[in-house]
Amino acid sequence: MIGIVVKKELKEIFRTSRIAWLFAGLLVLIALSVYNGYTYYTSHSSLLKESQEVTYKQFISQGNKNPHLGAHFGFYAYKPTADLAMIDNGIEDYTGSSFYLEPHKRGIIKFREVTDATSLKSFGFLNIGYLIQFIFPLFIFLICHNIFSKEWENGTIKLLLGSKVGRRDIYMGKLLACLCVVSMLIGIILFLSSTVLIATSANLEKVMGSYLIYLSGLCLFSVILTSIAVSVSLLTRSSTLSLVILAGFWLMGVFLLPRLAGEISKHVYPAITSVKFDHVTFNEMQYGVGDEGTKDYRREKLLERTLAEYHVDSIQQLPVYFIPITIEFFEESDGKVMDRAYSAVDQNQARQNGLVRSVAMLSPFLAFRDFSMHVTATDMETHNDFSEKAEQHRRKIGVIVDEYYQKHVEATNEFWKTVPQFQYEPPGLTHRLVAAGPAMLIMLGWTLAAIALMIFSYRKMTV
Amino acid sequence: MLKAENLTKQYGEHIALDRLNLEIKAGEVYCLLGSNGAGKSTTINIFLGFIPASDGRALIDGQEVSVNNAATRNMVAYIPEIVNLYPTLSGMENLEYFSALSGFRHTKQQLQSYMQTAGLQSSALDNRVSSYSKGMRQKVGIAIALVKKAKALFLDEPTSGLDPHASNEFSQIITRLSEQGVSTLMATHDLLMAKNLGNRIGIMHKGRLRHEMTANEVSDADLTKLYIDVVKEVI
Repeated sequence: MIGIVVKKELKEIFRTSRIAWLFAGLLVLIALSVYNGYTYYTSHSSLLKESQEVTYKQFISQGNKNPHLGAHFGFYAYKPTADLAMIDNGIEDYTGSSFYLEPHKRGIIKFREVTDATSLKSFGFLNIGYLIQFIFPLFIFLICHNIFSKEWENGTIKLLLGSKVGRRDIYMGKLLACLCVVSMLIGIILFLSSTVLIATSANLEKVMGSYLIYLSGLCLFSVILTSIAVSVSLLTRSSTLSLVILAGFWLMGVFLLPRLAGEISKHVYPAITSVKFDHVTFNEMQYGVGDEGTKDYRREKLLERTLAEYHVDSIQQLPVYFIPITIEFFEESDGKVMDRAYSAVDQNQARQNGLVRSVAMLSPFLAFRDFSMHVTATDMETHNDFSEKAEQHRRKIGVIVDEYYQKHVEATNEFWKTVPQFQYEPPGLTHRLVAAGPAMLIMLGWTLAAIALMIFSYRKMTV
Repeated sequence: MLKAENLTKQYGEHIALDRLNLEIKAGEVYCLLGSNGAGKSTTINIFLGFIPASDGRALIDGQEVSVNNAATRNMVAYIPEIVNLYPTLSGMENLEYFSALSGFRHTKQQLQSYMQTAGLQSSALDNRVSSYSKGMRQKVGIAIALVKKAKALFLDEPTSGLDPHASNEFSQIITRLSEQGVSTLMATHDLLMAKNLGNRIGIMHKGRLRHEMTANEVSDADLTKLYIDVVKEVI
C-alpha cells in the first residue's frame, strides 16, 4: 500500500508545472555550485601552494645579510585550501589564508577573499554548502508543504480515508514520496561533487571519511526538514498556511536568528577594538606587566645576567653578540604579552561563538551549518589552529636566527636554507568530529523533535 | 446490511443525531430527506467511520464500524455531492489509484469497463480530471464504488447540480447496483429522486428520524407535504 501511495504522489509532484520549473532551476544552481566550488578549490590551492613556494625560495636565496635583517625579509605561511572547501568554504573568505613570518610581530592574517570582492559577496559564495544550507531547505518546503493539505483542499481526504489503506500507510507513503524527490536531488549533488572530488583531490582516502560523514549529516538534515514540512502540511490542512509557516521557519532559522544571535553575542561579550588591543599590548611590551619594569630597565637587568653568566665585566668582553640575546629575550617576553592578548580575544570569540551556537538549538539550519564547517575543516577552530601553528613556526625561526646571530654577523644562503618551510596539516577526522559534536547533538535533538511532530500530526489525520 | 442502533452524535450541548434506529437490507435504496443540519450527513459520516458516534452502534454487514473500521471501510463506497479527485491525474489514474488502495489489482481493460459501466465516455478516460464536469466526476466516483465491489453505498447529495440527463443516468446506475444487491443510503433534498429511486424514505429533523415510509406507499404530493411541514418547523 505504501508503494501505491508513493507512486501516485510522485506522479502528482512531477506533473505540477511549478515543481518542474523549480526542479530545473535547482539543477542549474547545483551545476553552478559544483562548478564554483571546483574553480574556487583548484585556483586557491594552486595559488597558495605556488605562493608559499615562491616566497620561501626568495627567502632562502636572499644572499649574504645580517641574520636579523635577513629574518625581517620573512616569508608567508599559507593555509592550504581545505580538501572539502569545494563543497563548503566556510569562513575561509573572511579569515584569510596567509600569515607573514617575520621577527617581533605576530603575523596578521592577510589575503581575505572578501577584501577583493565586490559588494555582491555579501550575498555569500554560491557553492554546494551554501546551496544546501540556504536554498535546499526552501526547495524541500516548496515540495512538501501541500503533500497533505492538498487532500483537504481537493476534498479527496474522505475518499482516501474511506479506502482500505491505513493511515500509517498514507503517512509513510507521502513522507517517502517527499524523501524520494529530496533524495533525487541529493543524488545529483552527490554524483557531481564526488566526480569533482575524485578528479581534484590528491588525498582521496584521507578526504573520504570526512566526505561520507558530511553526506550522512546532509541526509539527516534533509530527513529532519522533510518530516517537519510533511507534519506541518498535515496539521495546517491549508497549503497557504503551511507554506507561510515553513517559509517563516526558514527565514527565522537561516537569516533572522543567526543575525540576532550575532548581535546579542556582540552586546553580551563585546570584542576588544584593534585600537585598544594595540594600546594594551604596546604598553605591556614597553612598560612591562606588574613589577617587570620598562623595556630599558629589563634590558639593563638582562645585560647584568648575561655578564654574570659569562663572568665578564663589560659588553665588549662577551664572547657572543649581545643584540641577538636581547632580541631573543624580548621576542619571548613580547610573545607572552601577545599570547595573553590573543588568548583573551580567542576566549571572548569562543564565548560569542558559544552563544551563537546555543541559538542553533532553535534552528536546524544553523546546526547543520556548524556541522558542515567543522567536518570540512573550514571553521574558526581550524583557522585558529593554523594561526597558532604559524605563530609557533615564526617563533621557531626567530630562535634559529637569533642563536646563529649570537655568533655570526652575516648569514649566507647556506644558513637560510636551514630555516624550515612551514607545513600545515589540518585537523584529522577525529578532531573534526569532536568539534562538530555539539552541532551533531543539536541535529539529533531536532531529529527527536521531528519524530515527535510526526507522531503528533499523525494522530490528527482525521476527516 | 446497514443497521443503526440508537445512533447518537453530540457536539457539546448540541445533539446532531438523536437515537437513530434504521435498518437497510441488501439491495435496498434508502433515501434520507431533511433540511440542512437534520443529521443526514452525520449519519453517513458515522457509518463511514469518519466521526465516532457518541452513543449507539453503526453496523455494516453485522460488523460494528467503531470496532472493525478497517473491515467495514472496505465494504463501503462513498460518493459525496462533489466527487473530489486528484486534478493532475486522469480519470483512469484516479480509478486505478483508489482501486489499488482498496486492495484490487485490475487490468487497464477491466478499469475501462468499470468506467463504461459508470457511463463515462472512453474519450475522456485519459484526460486530466481538472477538465472534467461535475457529472463526469460523479461517474468516476461510481466507477470507484464499482471497482471496490462495495456492499454498501453512501451518497451525500449526489445529484445536486447535475443536469436532468446526468441525474437520470446516475439513477439508472444506482438501480443497477441495487439489483446486484448493493445497499444504498442516500442523503438528498431531491424529493422526486427519492420517490423514484428509493425503496424506503426517511425524513429527518433535528437529528431525529421523524417519518419513515416505503416509496410505494406515499404519493408525490404527500411526500412533498410531509417534507415541507418538516422544513417549516425548522424555519
